Amino acid sequence: MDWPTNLQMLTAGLAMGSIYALVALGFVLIFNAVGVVNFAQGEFVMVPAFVAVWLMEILKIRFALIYLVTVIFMGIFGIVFQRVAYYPLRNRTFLPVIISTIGVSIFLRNGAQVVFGAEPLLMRRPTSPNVLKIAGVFVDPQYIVIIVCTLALLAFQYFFFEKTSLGKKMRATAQDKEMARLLGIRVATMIAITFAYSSILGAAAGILIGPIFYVTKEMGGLLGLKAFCSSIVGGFGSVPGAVLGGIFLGIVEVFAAYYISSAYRDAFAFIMLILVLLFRPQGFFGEKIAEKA
Amino acid sequence: MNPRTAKSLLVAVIALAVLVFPWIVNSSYWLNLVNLAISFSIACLGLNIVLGYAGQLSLAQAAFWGVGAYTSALVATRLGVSTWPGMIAAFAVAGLFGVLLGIPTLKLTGHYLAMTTIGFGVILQLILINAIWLTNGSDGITKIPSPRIGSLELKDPSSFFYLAAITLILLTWASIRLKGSRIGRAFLAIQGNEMAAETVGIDTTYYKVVAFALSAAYAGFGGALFAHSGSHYISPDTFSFDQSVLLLVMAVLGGNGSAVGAVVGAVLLTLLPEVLRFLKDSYMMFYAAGIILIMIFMPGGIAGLIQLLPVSQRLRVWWNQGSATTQQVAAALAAGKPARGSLPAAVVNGPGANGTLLTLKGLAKYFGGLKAVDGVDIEVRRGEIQALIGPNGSGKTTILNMLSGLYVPTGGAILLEGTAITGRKPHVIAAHGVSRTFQNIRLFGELTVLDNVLIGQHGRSKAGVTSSVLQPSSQQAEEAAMRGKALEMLEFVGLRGKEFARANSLPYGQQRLLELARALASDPKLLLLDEPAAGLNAAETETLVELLLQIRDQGITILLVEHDMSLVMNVSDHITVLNFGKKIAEGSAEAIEKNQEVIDAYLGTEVGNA
Amino acid sequence: MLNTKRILWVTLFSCTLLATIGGGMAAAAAGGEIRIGFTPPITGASASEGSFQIKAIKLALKEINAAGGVNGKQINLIMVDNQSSNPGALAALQKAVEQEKVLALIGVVKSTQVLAASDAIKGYGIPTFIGGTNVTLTRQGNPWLFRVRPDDSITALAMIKYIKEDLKLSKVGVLHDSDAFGTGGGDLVETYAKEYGLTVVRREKYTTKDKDYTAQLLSVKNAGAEILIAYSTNPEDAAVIQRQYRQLGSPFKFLGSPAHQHRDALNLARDAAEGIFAIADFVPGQTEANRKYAEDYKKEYNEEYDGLSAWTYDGLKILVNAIKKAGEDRAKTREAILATQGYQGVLGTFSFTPNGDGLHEVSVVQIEKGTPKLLKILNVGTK
Repeated sequence: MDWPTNLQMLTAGLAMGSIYALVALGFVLIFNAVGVVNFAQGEFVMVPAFVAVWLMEILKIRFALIYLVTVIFMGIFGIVFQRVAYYPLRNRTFLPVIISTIGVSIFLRNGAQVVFGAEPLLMRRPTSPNVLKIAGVFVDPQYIVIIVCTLALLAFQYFFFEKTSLGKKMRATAQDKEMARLLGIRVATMIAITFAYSSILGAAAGILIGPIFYVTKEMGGLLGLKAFCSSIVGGFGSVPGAVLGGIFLGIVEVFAAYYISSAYRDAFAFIMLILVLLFRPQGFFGEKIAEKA
Repeated sequence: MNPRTAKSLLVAVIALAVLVFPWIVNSSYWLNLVNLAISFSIACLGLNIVLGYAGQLSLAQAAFWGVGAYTSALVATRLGVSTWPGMIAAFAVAGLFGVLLGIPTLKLTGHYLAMTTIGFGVILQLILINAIWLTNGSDGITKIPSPRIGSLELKDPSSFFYLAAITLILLTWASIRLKGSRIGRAFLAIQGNEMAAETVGIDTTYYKVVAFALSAAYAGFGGALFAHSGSHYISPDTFSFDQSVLLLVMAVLGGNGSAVGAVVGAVLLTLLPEVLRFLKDSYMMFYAAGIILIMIFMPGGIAGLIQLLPVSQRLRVWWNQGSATTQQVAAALAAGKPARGSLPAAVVNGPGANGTLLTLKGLAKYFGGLKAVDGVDIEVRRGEIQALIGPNGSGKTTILNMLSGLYVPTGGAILLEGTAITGRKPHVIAAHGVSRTFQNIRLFGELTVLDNVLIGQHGRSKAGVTSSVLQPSSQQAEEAAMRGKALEMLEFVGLRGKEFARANSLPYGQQRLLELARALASDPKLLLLDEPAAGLNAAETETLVELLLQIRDQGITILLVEHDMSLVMNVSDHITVLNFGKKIAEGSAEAIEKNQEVIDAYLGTEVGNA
Repeated sequence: MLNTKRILWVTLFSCTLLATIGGGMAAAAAGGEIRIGFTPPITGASASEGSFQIKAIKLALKEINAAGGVNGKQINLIMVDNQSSNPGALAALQKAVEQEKVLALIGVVKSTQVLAASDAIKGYGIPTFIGGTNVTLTRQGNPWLFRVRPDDSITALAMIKYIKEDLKLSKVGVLHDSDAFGTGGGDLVETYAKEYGLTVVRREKYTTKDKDYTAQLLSVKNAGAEILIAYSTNPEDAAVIQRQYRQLGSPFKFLGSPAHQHRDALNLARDAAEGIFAIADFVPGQTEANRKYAEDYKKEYNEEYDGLSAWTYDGLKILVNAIKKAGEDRAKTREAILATQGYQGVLGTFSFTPNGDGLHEVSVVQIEKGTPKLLKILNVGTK
């Protein structure tokens, strides 16, 4: 057993998996709230990355302030997105909504090019570029930041949804809009907040990976699809499922690329998806839902 | 002008247009684009079948398009034969891939299905890139030959256009034919209400796979056209997920469910970017914004928009004047029959004309720890009306669902005329002669009243894909017979004159009647009714009682679940009472009324006497 | 509701109508000018490369027209977007030739797109300059293609020769993009390695725009490679590879394709690129021509030149020179291009071989303090 190699890959897998987890979380929240798959979720990562880079270059202010502004921007972005792409279609079947989100995805990708130019941009990193060596494994400090931030966000999320009144209202809305409305919960507001929160998760992902993977208009594309696969593998509709699914996928990808085939790396996410859907469709943590006859 | 002449005129105009088109558009640039648009259109026609008709979202259409392109290109370049075998192979191989995709994904719906198809597309593109021994990898395949007819090579865009246009017209015509046929109705039923479709006798698994196969085959042929025209070169990067998305947008823009719409959408979105070049690098943004606006304001796409115009409605009515359907319905109406007719004798009497039809032995259904049905024995005699009553949660609907195949029993057996049907699939049970209605009405809401009843006869008809498209006299005779039967059923329940209304435009009570007509249309031996009187007023309930008695008199056995006790007491020959998943009593109406246990559990006593 | 729909419909229709008319009008040709077409990717996945190509060619255009154009006629450069796709490349070519009526064409860089347009170019008989490096492009029997970059066989051979003769190493690992460019390069590297007695211990690939190369790098390391040849297409992928290589402790030496010494890759990878070897089309300062180019580019655009797009600059200038000699005739222009020998361009000395290849040398560089430093120029001849 080549421990150094395997540990090295495990680290890379954990970091990549954390990113998938964050994006998958954003998916699941929106899906739970409004039953819609958001094909523009990857762009929720790309847009804040560009915004953050732009702020860094133009305003040259401190990192913390940049991050704060980016997060606020994405919160507003989420609300606008919801109003434009989802709200007018909220009573239709899933197909127009999927297509609308696809339209937004294309719009944002090309919009980023028009506004920021076509060249890839470098996001300055808050961590040192010097690699740490921990237990024989080379670790980019940014990876540690990614993993820690993801854990922190999850802790916050758990606290928020389980313990606060607003969080519970949001969960109630996600489970049964009609009932929530009858109980006096302002459903439209809850939905808007859900989208805003999902966008903020995207902002976190964008800020975290920008320094490692550079900022390009295409950075969201495959990321969004793979994150969606992770959420299904983990159990669609389940928040811990989305996270664990993401991490699981990140690790599987890197090991499969090494031991099986690097050329088919992108295929593994989908192969896992298909296998899970065939043999355990509720994923690892989801619940079976039966249709009432 | 009557529709017949109009039809011939239309054909002539189309033929003429196709003939002179290359002369008018005397530019390789535009003709090349048109050929490309046609190739896309054919792929979109395929998407229209699987998505527009059967309601299954496939985001792998570009992958099938690619499979077709590669198959045809490889056959032509590696085997050195003429292009025609390759193009036919493209159709078949892509169709096969459609079956391969369809089979594992049949259990999935909506988003899950979409994601799986995306995955399939991604994997396929990776194979095209990496299986270099077969596909030549990223370098692609060059020098793909043009089709030849004898010594004539269809090398330049104008001569190729003729081939493309003719195949496009044929495939569009086939799609339209398919929609109005038994197969098309089956697809639409699956989209409308899959559960109901199963219980009506449609093997939804099989038909979904057929839909996938057809859509893939169409796309494959479109891909073959692409390979043999334009650049005469294909490489894997063309067949990406983004391309599948584009095809989806084309189909939906044109109008989901409309074959002509799919073509219009494809042509528009292929040519529009060319026209919008003056917007330079921002044209994609406008086009994306346009898509969103269309989804919000024109959800039926262009076809939907056109259909909403009043002139379209009038045009449609005028166009359909001469159709067999219209004439048959009109004739029935003109025959001046009474508002409600009688039910023609159904051919239901099998071996042992009296005796037991249905036996439930120790039937059980557990949901985890919950014992919904816990060992129930019931016998239903042929030709009787038996009622299942009991408080909510006593297991009545669960039993009905097991009888119709929607649930698999955890234990026990169900015997229909001595044959075990325990745990069989709903469409198989339907083939044995069992029909049902639902507690929450499950009609095919977007379809017409007539279509709903025609779909009810799916299991009793047999036209396949080929006969549905070609419509030989045998198929037309079958359709006419089905229509006749449907009209009799509608007459029986009292819905005459409403044949062309959309099912969900009917008032509630009439929707229930329609569901009943649909269930009767297949000449069932056993009719399962789940709270047929729910939501009906007194007059409607009386009508229902009359209908039920007439149905029984024709020899059809009825098992119904009901809460309306006056109805139950009026029609039942035999009553079974359930409580907490177990049978607590059975017998005639009088016996049950007086049974103390039943009174305690369910009926209650009247306060003071009536 | 219907009202809104009607308005939308009418607007959409009118826009389309206006656009068609507008597009038609633009095609009216003016006398007193020479029209040359250019089909870069303005939109789509390759848009970033396209923007550099446009900058480079506009610089050339400006200089040519400022110097009087051709016999007093100004050059009108007509740009048509190839949408970063194969059908798009063909459509752009056809539009440029049929509607915009261009005399000659500066074409595309992506080899698959060249192949897509190749038959049509032959059919029209229009001289076309390409930047694609796939070896077969000029060997398919199309006499109208002129390549103004060194093809992959030159790059690959230079790599192997440098490793063998200068670095004196023998165990080679190969990592390449699975697209046409990368696969072609990877194949050539492997062929030449065998020819020159080097061992390829491991060959790995990646899909374009992949994010994580840990698995591939570790695999090469564990196979005992002394040096890795990285044949990458995109500068941003190259930068990530270099960074992750550095983070794994630089377990072997590194020699990359031109994308690895590209300005973007260096900007993104920063320190991680230090000490890496790479092949470059040219290094500014090597000749008077490219020194001047780097300077003029900086003056015009206030940023560093981009190495992968300078071919459009050279291409336009060579083309215009040929037209000056041959007049506005496609066949004669073609001959004049082939007759161009010893032309000092930005990318090096151009001497066209009968099959249309213009450049036969590359530079080996090493990254020092964020810029490529020239080590050696290898002229590996015509084949």
